[in-house]
Amino acid sequence: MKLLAKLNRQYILYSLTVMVISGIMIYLVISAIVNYQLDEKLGDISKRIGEKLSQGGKIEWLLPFVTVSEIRKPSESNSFSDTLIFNSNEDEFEVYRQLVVCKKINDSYFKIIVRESKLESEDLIGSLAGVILLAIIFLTGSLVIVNRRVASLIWSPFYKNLKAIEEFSLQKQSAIVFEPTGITEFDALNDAVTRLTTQIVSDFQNMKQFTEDASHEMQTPLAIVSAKLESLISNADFNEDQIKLIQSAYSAVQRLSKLNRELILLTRIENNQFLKIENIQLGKIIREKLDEFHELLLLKGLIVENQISEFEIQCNPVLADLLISNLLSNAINHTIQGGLIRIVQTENMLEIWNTGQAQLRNPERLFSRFYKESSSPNSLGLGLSIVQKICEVQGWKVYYQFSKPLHGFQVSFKNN
Amino acid sequence: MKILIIEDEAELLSVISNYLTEADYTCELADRFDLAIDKISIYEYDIILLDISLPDGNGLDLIKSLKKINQKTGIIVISAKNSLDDKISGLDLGADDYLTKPFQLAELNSRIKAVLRRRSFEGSDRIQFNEIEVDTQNKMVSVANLPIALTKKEYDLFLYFLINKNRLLTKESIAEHLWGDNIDLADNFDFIYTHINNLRKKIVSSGGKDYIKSVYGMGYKFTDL
Repeated sequence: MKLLAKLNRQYILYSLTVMVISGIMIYLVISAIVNYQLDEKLGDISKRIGEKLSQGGKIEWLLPFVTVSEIRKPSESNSFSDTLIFNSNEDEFEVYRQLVVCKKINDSYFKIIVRESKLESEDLIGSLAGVILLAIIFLTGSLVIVNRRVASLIWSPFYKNLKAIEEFSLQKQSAIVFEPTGITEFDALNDAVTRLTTQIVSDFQNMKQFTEDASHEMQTPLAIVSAKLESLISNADFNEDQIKLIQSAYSAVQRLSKLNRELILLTRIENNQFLKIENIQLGKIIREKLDEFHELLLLKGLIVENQISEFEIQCNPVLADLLISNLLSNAINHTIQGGLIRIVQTENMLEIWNTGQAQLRNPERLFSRFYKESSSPNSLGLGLSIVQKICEVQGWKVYYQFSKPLHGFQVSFKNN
Repeated sequence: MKILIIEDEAELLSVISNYLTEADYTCELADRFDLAIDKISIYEYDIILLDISLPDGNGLDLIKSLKKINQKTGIIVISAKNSLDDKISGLDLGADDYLTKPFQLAELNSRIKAVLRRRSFEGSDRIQFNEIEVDTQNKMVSVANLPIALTKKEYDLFLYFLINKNRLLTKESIAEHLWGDNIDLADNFDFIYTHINNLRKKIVSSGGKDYIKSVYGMGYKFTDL
């Protein structure tokens, strides 16, 4: 739930409770006041009746308002109470406030009951309570609106900065810069986040820089070893055992060089060093690559099914080339002799399928560096990592699918 | 053919110059930027191998000054940085080719030959070897004046052998020459074996001799017995 909605909900909940409680209180207070006034009035009337009786006057009954009756012995003293009396005119019970008084006048006791209808006062209470309730509702409503306005104003820098944090990515290699909010707590939070991300970015850059420098520094010694071994091989006369030793050293150096080169390539893709974006006809690259791999396809007896369209995509040309090379060489590597490679390209999607053996053991690790499904010694296990890295920096998605007997890689060009 | 090798790493400098000297080039060496500048302003070279990351100057500047002095010299840039920017600016400035460390000496030799072929105007686009002739202009190989049909890779392979004749070409170096360096091909060596066999068959069946010798399973050598 959004913060503002939550705040509002709580606010309305509390307002409602307060409204109900204050409504009840208002009712009680007004009722008490009305009763008090009625009681005064009834007391006054009973007093006058008493005075008139003591002067020997006669009191007419006026039901249900006044009843006077002589009683033999005094009963309970003055008592106020509410009572229901049937009104035959209206054909319903009505609430009356009544006062029962026992008075001793000229040695005889009189029981005087005076009543007053509470109908009007009930109406009064009702309308008063209604007016007050309306006022409270209006007040609460306007408070909710004002609160929402104020809250969204106060929280807007928070949301802005939250968005900045959400958009933070190590790929961009820059720490988050927040606008000052003018609110101490937010500014403190922003400071903390800025410090944190600056640290992360600089650590990440250092790490990458180190990897890159180390790889580059290794190139020259590797070149020396490789060249020395090469000249050793071609110059001197060795026996077969010696040659074997040299050969395995040489192969290992070559492997290391290649590995190093691919790692540098990965780092360079990661560092966004392939910036130039062009309109690329992927179909053209695919055709070129198929041409380049022509002999390989023939040697393995592979059949290529090609559904290439002429759509253009926005991409760096080097990356597009690498993507296709790696996907195709992966397909060629893993297709069984005489198998099928199917290439389908639509506006938003490139699919490369190849017949393979059984399902992969660890498809989820397929794109990890150095992961090899087969134990082929000549493969470095970096090709698909490169594919994934390219997709990552281009904002594409790459999926692996297996639908027997075809293994497929799908690259979706849609930017999310 | 005169070659100037500009490289600050002494070991690499010596191994390159030894290799190229054996291949009958005259090599001069420079391990510093200022020394290289001195040499190119005094002498003329057919090819300059240039490591662009020199301790006392940027190799790219050297290309600029060289282009002012002499347009005819071929330039091959060598760099430890597999950086596209360096490559593009190097080629833009007028370098002929670009090699990334570490590279195969045979590959370097083949690139030098290619640059020389492109640079020379004396119709040296034909390479003759006994009964075999290669027309590099039209990418045609003929045995005893009869053209044979080679696929593109077979042609590349044959030219690579011819240029590096009498030298052992390792399988790794052949694979890299044929398929480039950023491709992870697991069955590379099997492919090479098949390619070479096909190439042999085509030459032999057209009446040529089989000059390609396998060496201890390490690689191949193109040699006139």
